[in-house]
Amino acid sequence: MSLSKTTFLSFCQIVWLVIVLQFQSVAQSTPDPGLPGTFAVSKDTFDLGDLAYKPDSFPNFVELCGSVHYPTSLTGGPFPVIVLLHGRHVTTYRTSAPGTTSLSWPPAAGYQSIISFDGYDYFARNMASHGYIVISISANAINAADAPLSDRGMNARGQLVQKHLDMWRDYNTVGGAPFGTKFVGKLDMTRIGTMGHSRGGEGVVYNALLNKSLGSPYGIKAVLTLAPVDFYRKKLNGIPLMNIAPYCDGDVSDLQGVHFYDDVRYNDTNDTAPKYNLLMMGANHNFFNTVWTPGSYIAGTSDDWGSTTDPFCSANRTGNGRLDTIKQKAAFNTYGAAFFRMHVGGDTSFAPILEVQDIYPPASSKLDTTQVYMSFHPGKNKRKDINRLDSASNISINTLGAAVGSSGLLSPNICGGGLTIPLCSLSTAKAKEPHRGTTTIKGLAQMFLRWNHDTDYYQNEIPVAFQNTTMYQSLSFRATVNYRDTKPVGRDLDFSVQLIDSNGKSSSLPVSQFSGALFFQPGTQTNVLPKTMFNTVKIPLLKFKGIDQTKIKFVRFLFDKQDSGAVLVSDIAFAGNVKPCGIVDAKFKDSLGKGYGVYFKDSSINNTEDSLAWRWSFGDPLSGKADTSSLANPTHIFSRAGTFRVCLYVSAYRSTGIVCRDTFCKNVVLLPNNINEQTISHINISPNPAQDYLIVNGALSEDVLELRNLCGQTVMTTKLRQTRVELPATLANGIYVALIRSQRGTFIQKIVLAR
Amino acid sequence: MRYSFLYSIFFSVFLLLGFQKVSAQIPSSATIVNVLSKADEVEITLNADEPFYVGANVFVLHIGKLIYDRYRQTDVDGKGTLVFLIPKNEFETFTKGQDIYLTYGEFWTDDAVENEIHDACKTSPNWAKYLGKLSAEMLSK
Repeated sequence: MSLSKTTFLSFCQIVWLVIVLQFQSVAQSTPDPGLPGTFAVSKDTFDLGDLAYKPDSFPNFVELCGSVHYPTSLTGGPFPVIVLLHGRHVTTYRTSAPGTTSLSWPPAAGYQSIISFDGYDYFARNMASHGYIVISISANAINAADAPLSDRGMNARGQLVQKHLDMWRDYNTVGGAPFGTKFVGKLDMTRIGTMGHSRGGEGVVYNALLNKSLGSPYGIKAVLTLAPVDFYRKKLNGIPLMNIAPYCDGDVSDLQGVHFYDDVRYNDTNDTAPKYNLLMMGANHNFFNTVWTPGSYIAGTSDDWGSTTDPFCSANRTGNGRLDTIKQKAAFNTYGAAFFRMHVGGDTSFAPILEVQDIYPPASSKLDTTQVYMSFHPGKNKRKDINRLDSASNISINTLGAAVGSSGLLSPNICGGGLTIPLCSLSTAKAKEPHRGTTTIKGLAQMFLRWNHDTDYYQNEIPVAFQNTTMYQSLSFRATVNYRDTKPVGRDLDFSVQLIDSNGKSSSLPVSQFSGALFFQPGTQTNVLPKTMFNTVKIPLLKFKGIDQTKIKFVRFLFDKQDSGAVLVSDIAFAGNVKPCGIVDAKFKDSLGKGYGVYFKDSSINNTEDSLAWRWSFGDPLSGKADTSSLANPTHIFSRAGTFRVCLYVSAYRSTGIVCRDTFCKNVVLLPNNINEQTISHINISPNPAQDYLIVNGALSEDVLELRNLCGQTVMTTKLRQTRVELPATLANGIYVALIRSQRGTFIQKIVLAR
Repeated sequence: MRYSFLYSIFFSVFLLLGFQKVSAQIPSSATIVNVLSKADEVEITLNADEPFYVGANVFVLHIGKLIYDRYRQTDVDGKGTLVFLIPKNEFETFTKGQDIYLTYGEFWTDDAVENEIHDACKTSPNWAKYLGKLSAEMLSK
């Protein structure tokens, strides 16, 4: 951070930064998602015509064109898929005078298309280098004609994404122009992530709903909205969603995309999909797209924060807080990659970045802790709501059904959760109140807490049934400050979070030790800045020392850090990524015995003082009563060859009387003919893991090598005329069983394919 | 070859000039140029010497306490046009002297505090512009 920007670092933020830097060595243990991967990357473009497709309810035909980034060597696929949809922007420019643009489609004579879909190449390249196929699609025709439509093109954008998915399904199955068979079998259409920028954000949300309504022909696993509009407040549940809100957005200046997060927190009680909202300080609307960025493209570019008078967001002001174009793209590249690689790619190592555990931004983002703030709403199976604060009754009775109390606070009340009303009467200007409602959708309900003495507090009682908190990792809530309050001299707000157990013992921790969320959001632009944007505060429960965590009776916010102040709070919950009941973690190992016999060994992790009980289910009903066992380390003789789903159910009986349970299941594969893996002294298959070939030593030329996948399907058969056997490029990475059949018998070895 | 060289210079100059470009979502030259009555709607046309911003958000025309955000937008040869579509029955309720504002983004609800918009026209002119009062001539269209 340059010295000039310290103008916007308050004392509290500096203290916060120092604390974070102290923990940097821990934070850096989280891998950096923004670094390039190992795959070489290629890019192709495709253009099926400017007027190739007619979405329903859209007046015009639209283009089908875009680009695809992919691993140059497509061997080892199928690869997960990311689809990118740009937003509304001017569509064409005069070739002889690029400063002259036109909002029309198709390009008139003498004009050419502005290729907005090219503007995310930096992100597509990075994702492709990690083994993704990234398709970026053009939506210029919709941009040119959506202004008078009642849905402002939302339907058409969603349909356009679906149409491209249909096209790529065909490229993946039968091929077609312009790619021929290049991508056949290379796309994993069950693992798709979509990203929409600007109006494209609402488009990809609508697309995910459309895909669901069609029976989910495509496996959309994650949806990212980047500086989006949310005109119609569509609610997407059941799919992980991340919204990125750029604080200095001069286009969607009310940051309305946060509604994609707010509106779906509690409307679906079975929703296990997490939601994220990332507030990116200093970012504007356009610089995420290089084609919209001045200096990066020939026509139609601009800094959308047009005002020159705001001390934080105006790039011309000395000491402003703006991100330059390089930082802004790097930041999106990092956090977008973390989101997709976790929820599409299944790499949970990035969870700490997204779930407010590792709050130090990855180095590749080029941000510091004062430039990025995250809200995280876990799925319903990973949180216990203490007080949602989403109804008027929650001022006295919390979500767990217990009492809510306070001492000394000035008129505490729940506000902001109605239709159209401003949030806690802060401002009538929408752009300053991103969490507000509309005439039909309620805004974010929140608790307004104002204190004027350092003994004032607000507390939620925890009923006995929920006082054991050992199954959760953290106490979590969202908070922001009231910008109308006077900022304390030289510092931001702070208060203590205190847990009190049923024996009356307490432990307190300051919010500022774990989060910078209580900062006064900057800017003075009339009607636009500052804003109230809620951010998550998450405090690990293990940090609270000296209390009985199985008997937490009160969660108290103790306002002992300043004589006066006010905060707004929502979504108070216990949250965790651990399995139910904390450290009880069922696991087992298996080894093959004679015939169809398999030895199972419990390897569960649990409290040593717990007494345990085991129940096994071998997924083998033909074995009758023997299909279950209550031994710790049983042996099961399977009734036949095949694949069996074996489950271990562990119950841990704690001294407190609580029973914690966990389950672990895995497939066990038994090959036919009473044969299991054998080590043959005179036959050896290498390398293992293998990449492109196997060397089989000790076999005869008439011997046959057969490769089977774990479903028992034969994927390759060849005679062993040579010791070197080339493996088909179409084989996916994974575990295979190599069988060598000869007159001397059949020999088997597991082979791992890892290209 | 020569063409390619000149084009490169041309391209570079444009990129360089563009580097400092910031947007005014509402051009300062925006003005009402026509009011046209049709069967069910009245079209209010705004022109500007430069394009109206083409972005995610919507332009909103405030007339008195009512707001309108359905419009056609064109941007031809560097000149911008917005044609707002006002239901005829609502247009007929307008009275002479009502203030007309254009905002980029729905900053206020339909019960907007007019003096806030008026202030915004001074402090945030790229997002809010005062277009004058409804005249008898406009109402007679």
